Amino acid sequence: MKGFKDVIILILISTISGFCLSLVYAKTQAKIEAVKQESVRTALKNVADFMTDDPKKVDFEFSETETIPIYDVTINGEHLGAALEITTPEGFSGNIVFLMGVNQRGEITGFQILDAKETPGLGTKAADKAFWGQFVGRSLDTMTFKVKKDGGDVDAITASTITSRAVTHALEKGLKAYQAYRGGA
Amino acid sequence: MSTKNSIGTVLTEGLWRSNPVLILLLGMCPTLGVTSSAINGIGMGLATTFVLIMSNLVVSAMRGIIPKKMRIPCFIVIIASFVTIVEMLTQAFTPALYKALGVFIPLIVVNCIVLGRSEAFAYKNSVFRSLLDGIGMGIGFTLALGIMGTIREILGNGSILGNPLFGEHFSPMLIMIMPPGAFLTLGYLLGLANYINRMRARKGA
Repeated sequence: MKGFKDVIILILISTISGFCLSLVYAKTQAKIEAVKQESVRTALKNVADFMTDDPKKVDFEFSETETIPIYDVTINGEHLGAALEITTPEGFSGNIVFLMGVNQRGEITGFQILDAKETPGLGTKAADKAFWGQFVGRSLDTMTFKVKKDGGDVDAITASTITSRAVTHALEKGLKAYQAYRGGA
Repeated sequence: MSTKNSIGTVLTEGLWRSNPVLILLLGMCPTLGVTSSAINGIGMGLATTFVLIMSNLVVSAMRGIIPKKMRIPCFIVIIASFVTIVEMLTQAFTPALYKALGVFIPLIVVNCIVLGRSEAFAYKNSVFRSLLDGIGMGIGFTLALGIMGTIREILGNGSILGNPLFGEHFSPMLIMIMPPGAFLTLGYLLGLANYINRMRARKGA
Protein backbone atom coordinates (compact mmCIF):
# COMPACT_ATOMS: atom_id res chain seq x y z
CA MET A 1 0.00 0.00 0.00
CA LYS A 2 3.01 2.30 0.35
CA GLY A 3 3.29 2.84 -3.40
CA PHE A 4 -0.36 3.82 -3.46
CA LYS A 5 0.25 6.60 -0.95
CA ASP A 6 3.16 7.94 -3.05
CA VAL A 7 0.92 8.15 -6.11
CA ILE A 8 -1.76 10.01 -4.15
CA ILE A 9 0.82 12.60 -3.07
CA LEU A 10 2.05 13.14 -6.64
CA ILE A 11 -1.55 13.52 -7.84
CA LEU A 12 -2.17 15.99 -5.02
CA ILE A 13 0.89 18.08 -5.93
CA SER A 14 -0.09 18.08 -9.60
CA THR A 15 -3.65 19.12 -8.77
CA ILE A 16 -2.52 22.03 -6.62
CA SER A 17 -0.02 23.11 -9.32
CA GLY A 18 -2.71 22.94 -11.97
CA PHE A 19 -5.00 25.06 -9.85
CA CYS A 20 -2.32 27.71 -9.25
CA LEU A 21 -1.51 27.80 -12.97
CA SER A 22 -5.12 28.31 -13.96
CA LEU A 23 -5.28 31.24 -11.52
CA VAL A 24 -2.21 32.92 -13.07
CA TYR A 25 -3.51 32.13 -16.56
CA ALA A 26 -6.84 33.79 -15.81
CA LYS A 27 -5.05 36.88 -14.48
CA THR A 28 -2.55 37.29 -17.33
CA GLN A 29 -4.45 36.08 -20.41
CA ALA A 30 -6.26 39.34 -21.14
CA LYS A 31 -3.03 41.30 -20.73
CA ILE A 32 -1.08 38.95 -23.05
CA GLU A 33 -3.78 39.27 -25.71
CA ALA A 34 -3.74 43.07 -25.39
CA VAL A 35 0.07 43.19 -25.70
CA LYS A 36 -0.04 41.06 -28.85
CA GLN A 37 -2.71 43.21 -30.48
CA GLU A 38 -0.89 46.36 -29.46
CA SER A 39 2.33 45.20 -31.13
CA VAL A 40 0.49 44.39 -34.37
CA ARG A 41 -1.22 47.79 -34.28
CA THR A 42 2.06 49.62 -33.67
CA ALA A 43 3.72 47.76 -36.53
CA LEU A 44 0.82 48.57 -38.87
CA LYS A 45 0.99 52.27 -37.98
CA ASN A 46 4.76 52.23 -38.52
CA VAL A 47 4.50 51.05 -42.11
CA ALA A 48 1.53 53.16 -43.18
CA ASP A 49 0.72 56.65 -41.91
CA PHE A 50 -2.85 56.35 -43.22
CA MET A 51 -3.49 53.30 -41.00
CA THR A 52 -6.65 53.31 -38.91
CA ASP A 53 -7.22 51.46 -35.66
CA ASP A 54 -9.26 48.68 -37.21
CA PRO A 55 -8.25 47.94 -40.80
CA LYS A 56 -10.17 45.22 -42.59
CA LYS A 57 -8.07 42.06 -42.59
CA VAL A 58 -8.31 40.01 -45.78
CA ASP A 59 -6.56 36.72 -46.50
CA PHE A 60 -5.77 37.31 -50.15
CA GLU A 61 -5.06 34.24 -52.29
CA PHE A 62 -2.16 35.54 -54.36
CA SER A 63 -1.40 32.18 -55.97
CA GLU A 64 -2.55 28.63 -55.50
CA THR A 65 0.10 28.05 -52.89
CA GLU A 66 0.32 31.43 -51.24
CA THR A 67 -2.10 33.40 -49.11
CA ILE A 68 -1.07 36.93 -48.12
CA PRO A 69 -2.75 38.69 -45.17
CA ILE A 70 -3.72 42.19 -46.29
CA TYR A 71 -4.87 44.94 -43.92
CA ASP A 72 -7.10 47.07 -46.15
CA VAL A 73 -7.72 50.68 -45.12
CA THR A 74 -10.93 52.04 -46.56
CA ILE A 75 -12.58 55.08 -44.98
CA ASN A 76 -16.13 56.00 -46.06
CA GLY A 77 -15.78 53.90 -49.19
CA GLU A 78 -12.50 55.55 -50.23
CA HIS A 79 -9.59 53.16 -50.44
CA LEU A 80 -6.41 54.71 -49.00
CA GLY A 81 -3.98 51.82 -49.18
CA ALA A 82 -3.06 48.68 -47.35
CA ALA A 83 -0.45 46.91 -45.30
CA LEU A 84 0.68 43.47 -46.46
CA GLU A 85 2.27 40.77 -44.36
CA ILE A 86 4.84 39.09 -46.60
CA THR A 87 6.74 35.89 -45.88
CA THR A 88 9.76 34.98 -47.97
CA PRO A 89 11.77 31.77 -47.71
CA GLU A 90 14.64 33.29 -49.73
CA GLY A 91 16.53 34.75 -46.76
CA PHE A 92 20.00 33.64 -45.71
CA SER A 93 18.64 31.54 -42.84
CA GLY A 94 14.97 30.72 -42.46
CA ASN A 95 11.90 32.75 -43.33
CA ILE A 96 11.83 36.51 -43.28
CA VAL A 97 8.41 37.85 -42.30
CA PHE A 98 7.73 41.56 -42.69
CA LEU A 99 4.99 44.14 -43.01
CA MET A 100 4.95 46.62 -45.88
CA GLY A 101 2.68 49.57 -46.39
CA VAL A 102 1.35 50.48 -49.85
CA ASN A 103 -0.70 53.57 -50.65
CA GLN A 104 -3.46 53.70 -53.26
CA ARG A 105 -0.97 54.79 -55.95
CA GLY A 106 0.91 51.52 -55.43
CA GLU A 107 3.88 53.19 -53.72
CA ILE A 108 5.68 51.68 -50.76
CA THR A 109 5.16 53.73 -47.60
CA GLY A 110 7.03 51.73 -45.00
CA PHE A 111 8.65 48.48 -44.01
CA GLN A 112 9.08 46.60 -40.75
CA ILE A 113 10.55 43.17 -40.09
CA LEU A 114 8.36 41.01 -37.85
CA ASP A 115 10.46 37.87 -37.70
CA ALA A 116 13.86 37.00 -39.16
CA LYS A 117 16.85 34.88 -38.30
CA GLU A 118 19.40 36.65 -40.48
CA THR A 119 23.06 36.92 -39.44
CA PRO A 120 23.41 39.42 -36.56
CA GLY A 121 25.18 42.57 -37.72
CA LEU A 122 24.94 41.74 -41.43
CA GLY A 123 21.54 40.54 -42.63
CA THR A 124 19.82 42.18 -39.65
CA LYS A 125 20.72 45.55 -41.21
CA ALA A 126 17.72 44.99 -43.49
CA ALA A 127 15.68 46.31 -40.55
CA ASP A 128 17.53 49.66 -40.67
CA LYS A 129 15.98 52.59 -42.46
CA ALA A 130 19.35 53.12 -44.18
CA PHE A 131 18.44 50.07 -46.25
CA TRP A 132 14.67 50.05 -46.64
CA GLY A 133 14.41 53.85 -46.88
CA GLN A 134 15.41 53.58 -50.56
CA PHE A 135 12.13 51.78 -51.33
CA VAL A 136 9.84 54.40 -49.79
CA GLY A 137 7.79 56.24 -52.40
CA ARG A 138 8.80 53.78 -55.10
CA SER A 139 6.38 51.65 -57.10
CA LEU A 140 6.65 48.95 -59.76
CA ASP A 141 6.77 51.71 -62.42
CA THR A 142 9.55 53.79 -60.88
CA MET A 143 11.98 51.14 -59.70
CA THR A 144 13.56 47.99 -61.03
CA PHE A 145 13.33 45.59 -58.11
CA LYS A 146 16.76 44.01 -58.41
CA VAL A 147 20.00 44.71 -56.58
CA LYS A 148 22.54 46.75 -58.60
CA LYS A 149 24.74 43.70 -59.02
CA ASP A 150 21.87 42.06 -60.93
CA GLY A 151 21.20 45.17 -63.00
CA GLY A 152 18.50 46.80 -60.86
CA ASP A 153 18.12 49.96 -58.79
CA VAL A 154 18.59 48.58 -55.28
CA ASP A 155 21.67 49.28 -53.14
CA ALA A 156 22.38 45.96 -51.44
CA ILE A 157 23.60 45.71 -47.84
CA THR A 158 27.37 45.19 -47.82
CA ALA A 159 28.17 41.49 -47.34
CA SER A 160 24.46 40.58 -47.29
CA THR A 161 23.51 40.25 -50.93
CA ILE A 162 21.30 37.21 -50.26
CA THR A 163 19.24 39.02 -47.64
CA SER A 164 19.01 42.11 -49.86
CA ARG A 165 17.85 40.05 -52.83
CA ALA A 166 15.28 38.24 -50.69
CA VAL A 167 13.78 41.47 -49.32
CA THR A 168 13.85 43.19 -52.71
CA HIS A 169 12.17 40.27 -54.43
CA ALA A 170 9.59 39.96 -51.65
CA LEU A 171 8.76 43.69 -51.82
CA GLU A 172 8.19 43.33 -55.57
CA LYS A 173 5.96 40.33 -54.86
CA GLY A 174 4.05 42.44 -52.31
CA LEU A 175 3.45 45.23 -54.83
CA LYS A 176 2.25 42.72 -57.42
CA ALA A 177 -0.04 41.13 -54.84
CA TYR A 178 -1.43 44.58 -54.06
CA GLN A 179 -2.07 45.24 -57.76
CA ALA A 180 -3.79 41.87 -58.11
CA TYR A 181 -5.81 42.56 -54.97
CA ARG A 182 -6.91 45.97 -56.21
CA GLY A 183 -7.56 44.65 -59.69
CA GLY A 184 -9.83 41.98 -58.31
CA ALA A 185 -11.54 44.24 -55.78
CA MET B 1 27.83 20.96 0.91
CA SER B 2 27.38 19.95 4.52
CA THR B 3 24.33 21.12 6.42
CA LYS B 4 26.59 22.60 9.08
CA ASN B 5 27.49 25.63 6.98
CA SER B 6 26.64 28.93 8.63
CA ILE B 7 23.77 30.96 7.20
CA GLY B 8 26.16 33.49 5.67
CA THR B 9 28.05 30.74 3.87
CA VAL B 10 24.82 29.28 2.47
CA LEU B 11 24.00 32.65 0.94
CA THR B 12 27.45 33.33 -0.56
CA GLU B 13 28.17 29.75 -1.65
CA GLY B 14 26.50 30.27 -5.04
CA LEU B 15 28.25 33.57 -5.75
CA TRP B 16 31.71 32.12 -6.13
CA ARG B 17 32.69 28.88 -4.35
CA SER B 18 29.86 26.88 -5.96
CA ASN B 19 28.95 29.29 -8.74
CA PRO B 20 26.51 27.34 -10.95
CA VAL B 21 28.13 28.38 -14.23
CA LEU B 22 31.78 29.04 -13.45
CA ILE B 23 32.47 26.23 -10.95
CA LEU B 24 29.66 23.63 -11.09
CA LEU B 25 29.23 23.98 -14.89
CA LEU B 26 25.46 23.50 -14.62
CA GLY B 27 22.89 25.21 -16.85
CA MET B 28 25.21 25.53 -19.85
CA CYS B 29 22.38 25.61 -22.40
CA PRO B 30 20.96 29.05 -21.55
CA THR B 31 24.47 30.26 -20.71
CA LEU B 32 25.57 29.67 -24.29
CA GLY B 33 22.23 30.33 -25.94
CA VAL B 34 20.88 33.65 -24.68
CA THR B 35 23.93 35.70 -23.70
CA SER B 36 24.24 37.60 -26.99
CA SER B 37 23.57 40.82 -25.08
CA ALA B 38 23.86 41.93 -21.46
CA ILE B 39 20.13 42.51 -21.04
CA ASN B 40 19.26 39.02 -22.34
CA GLY B 41 21.77 37.41 -19.96
CA ILE B 42 20.49 39.34 -16.96
CA GLY B 43 16.83 38.74 -17.90
CA MET B 44 17.42 35.02 -18.22
CA GLY B 45 19.34 35.04 -14.92
CA LEU B 46 16.51 36.78 -13.09
CA ALA B 47 13.85 34.46 -14.53
CA THR B 48 15.91 31.45 -13.41
CA THR B 49 16.48 33.05 -9.99
CA PHE B 50 12.74 33.39 -9.47
CA VAL B 51 12.18 29.73 -10.36
CA LEU B 52 15.12 28.66 -8.16
CA ILE B 53 13.90 30.55 -5.09
CA MET B 54 10.27 29.47 -5.44
CA SER B 55 11.01 25.80 -6.15
CA ASN B 56 13.57 25.68 -3.35
CA LEU B 57 10.98 27.14 -0.95
CA VAL B 58 8.19 24.77 -1.93
CA VAL B 59 10.36 21.65 -2.10
CA SER B 60 11.85 22.45 1.29
CA ALA B 61 8.45 23.17 2.87
CA MET B 62 7.08 19.87 1.53
CA ARG B 63 10.16 17.75 2.16
CA GLY B 64 8.32 15.91 4.96
CA ILE B 65 5.50 14.90 2.62
CA ILE B 66 7.33 14.19 -0.64
CA PRO B 67 8.07 10.44 -0.71
CA LYS B 68 11.73 9.60 -1.29
CA LYS B 69 11.07 7.27 -4.23
CA MET B 70 8.84 9.78 -6.01
CA ARG B 71 10.86 12.91 -5.29
CA ILE B 72 12.14 13.63 -8.83
CA PRO B 73 8.65 13.64 -10.48
CA CYS B 74 7.40 15.79 -7.62
CA PHE B 75 10.29 18.26 -8.07
CA ILE B 76 9.67 18.44 -11.81
CA VAL B 77 5.95 19.17 -11.37
CA ILE B 78 6.74 21.97 -8.91
CA ILE B 79 9.52 23.44 -11.08
CA ALA B 80 7.45 23.20 -14.28
CA SER B 81 4.60 25.07 -12.60
CA PHE B 82 6.82 27.99 -11.62
CA VAL B 83 8.43 28.07 -15.06
CA THR B 84 5.00 28.30 -16.68
CA ILE B 85 4.10 31.13 -14.31
CA VAL B 86 7.30 32.99 -15.25
CA GLU B 87 6.53 32.42 -18.92
CA MET B 88 3.04 33.90 -18.63
CA LEU B 89 4.26 36.84 -16.53
CA THR B 90 7.11 37.81 -18.90
CA GLN B 91 4.76 37.46 -21.86
CA ALA B 92 2.26 39.80 -20.24
CA PHE B 93 4.55 42.42 -18.70
CA THR B 94 7.89 42.32 -20.56
CA PRO B 95 6.98 41.20 -24.11
CA ALA B 96 10.31 42.39 -25.56
CA LEU B 97 12.27 40.20 -23.14
CA TYR B 98 9.90 37.30 -23.81
CA LYS B 99 10.60 37.59 -27.53
CA ALA B 100 14.36 37.75 -26.99
CA LEU B 101 14.53 34.76 -24.65
CA GLY B 102 12.06 32.72 -26.69
CA VAL B 103 12.29 28.99 -26.21
CA PHE B 104 14.82 29.33 -23.39
CA ILE B 105 12.15 30.27 -20.84
CA PRO B 106 10.28 26.93 -21.07
CA LEU B 107 13.69 25.26 -21.06
CA ILE B 108 14.35 26.49 -17.50
CA VAL B 109 12.40 23.35 -16.52
CA VAL B 110 15.29 21.16 -17.62
CA ASN B 111 18.01 23.50 -16.35
CA CYS B 112 20.06 21.16 -14.17
CA ILE B 113 20.84 23.90 -11.66
CA VAL B 114 17.18 24.18 -10.61
CA LEU B 115 16.60 20.44 -10.20
CA GLY B 116 20.11 20.12 -8.74
CA ARG B 117 19.41 22.57 -5.90
CA SER B 118 16.06 20.90 -5.11
CA GLU B 119 17.74 17.52 -4.93
CA ALA B 120 21.03 18.46 -3.26
CA PHE B 121 19.91 21.23 -0.95
CA ALA B 122 16.22 22.05 -0.51
CA TYR B 123 15.16 18.43 0.07
CA LYS B 124 17.55 18.21 3.02
CA ASN B 125 17.44 21.71 4.53
CA SER B 126 15.06 24.08 6.31
CA VAL B 127 12.85 26.53 4.42
CA PHE B 128 14.92 29.53 5.49
CA ARG B 129 18.26 28.00 4.44
CA SER B 130 16.73 26.87 1.15
CA LEU B 131 15.52 30.40 0.52
CA LEU B 132 19.06 31.75 1.08
CA ASP B 133 20.50 29.02 -1.14
CA GLY B 134 18.04 29.88 -3.91
CA ILE B 135 18.90 33.59 -3.68
CA GLY B 136 22.67 32.94 -3.64
CA MET B 137 22.63 30.45 -6.50
CA GLY B 138 20.28 32.65 -8.50
CA ILE B 139 22.46 35.73 -8.11
CA GLY B 140 25.54 33.69 -8.97
CA PHE B 141 23.84 32.43 -12.13
CA THR B 142 22.63 35.94 -13.05
CA LEU B 143 26.11 37.40 -12.48
CA ALA B 144 27.78 34.81 -14.69
CA LEU B 145 25.22 35.28 -17.48
CA GLY B 146 25.41 39.06 -17.11
CA ILE B 147 29.21 39.02 -17.44
CA MET B 148 29.02 36.71 -20.47
CA GLY B 149 26.39 38.93 -22.09
CA THR B 150 28.31 42.15 -21.37
CA ILE B 151 31.59 40.84 -22.82
CA ARG B 152 29.88 39.51 -25.93
CA GLU B 153 27.83 42.66 -26.45
CA ILE B 154 30.86 44.98 -26.10
CA LEU B 155 33.04 42.95 -28.47
CA GLY B 156 30.37 41.79 -30.90
CA ASN B 157 28.09 44.79 -31.12
CA GLY B 158 30.17 47.67 -29.72
CA SER B 159 27.51 48.57 -27.18
CA ILE B 160 26.64 48.04 -23.54
CA LEU B 161 23.00 47.53 -22.53
CA GLY B 162 22.08 48.81 -25.97
CA ASN B 163 24.08 52.07 -25.72
CA PRO B 164 26.78 52.40 -28.39
CA LEU B 165 30.24 52.62 -26.82
CA PHE B 166 32.44 53.48 -29.75
CA GLY B 167 32.25 55.87 -32.68
CA GLU B 168 30.76 55.24 -36.10
CA HIS B 169 33.91 53.67 -37.46
CA PHE B 170 34.19 50.88 -34.90
CA SER B 171 33.75 47.58 -36.64
CA PRO B 172 32.59 44.95 -34.11
CA MET B 173 33.79 41.34 -33.94
CA LEU B 174 30.56 39.82 -35.22
CA ILE B 175 31.62 36.33 -34.26
CA MET B 176 31.24 37.24 -30.58
CA ILE B 177 27.44 37.56 -30.77
CA MET B 178 27.14 34.45 -32.92
CA PRO B 179 27.19 30.98 -31.34
CA PRO B 180 30.99 30.46 -31.57
CA GLY B 181 31.47 33.64 -29.53
CA ALA B 182 29.51 32.05 -26.67
CA PHE B 183 31.94 29.13 -26.50
CA LEU B 184 34.98 31.42 -26.75
CA THR B 185 33.74 33.70 -23.98
CA LEU B 186 32.77 30.80 -21.72
CA GLY B 187 36.14 29.14 -22.27
CA TYR B 188 38.10 32.26 -21.31
CA LEU B 189 35.85 32.90 -18.30
CA LEU B 190 36.28 29.33 -17.03
CA GLY B 191 40.03 29.63 -17.51
CA LEU B 192 40.05 32.86 -15.53
CA ALA B 193 37.93 31.36 -12.73
CA ASN B 194 40.25 28.35 -12.50
CA TYR B 195 43.31 30.59 -12.47
CA ILE B 196 41.91 32.73 -9.63
CA ASN B 197 40.96 29.64 -7.62
CA ARG B 198 44.43 28.13 -8.07
CA MET B 199 46.09 31.37 -6.98
CA ARG B 200 43.89 31.48 -3.89
CA ALA B 201 44.58 27.84 -3.04
CA ARG B 202 48.32 28.46 -3.34
CA LYS B 203 48.08 31.46 -1.03
CA GLY B 204 46.07 29.45 1.50
CA ALA B 205 48.51 26.52 1.51
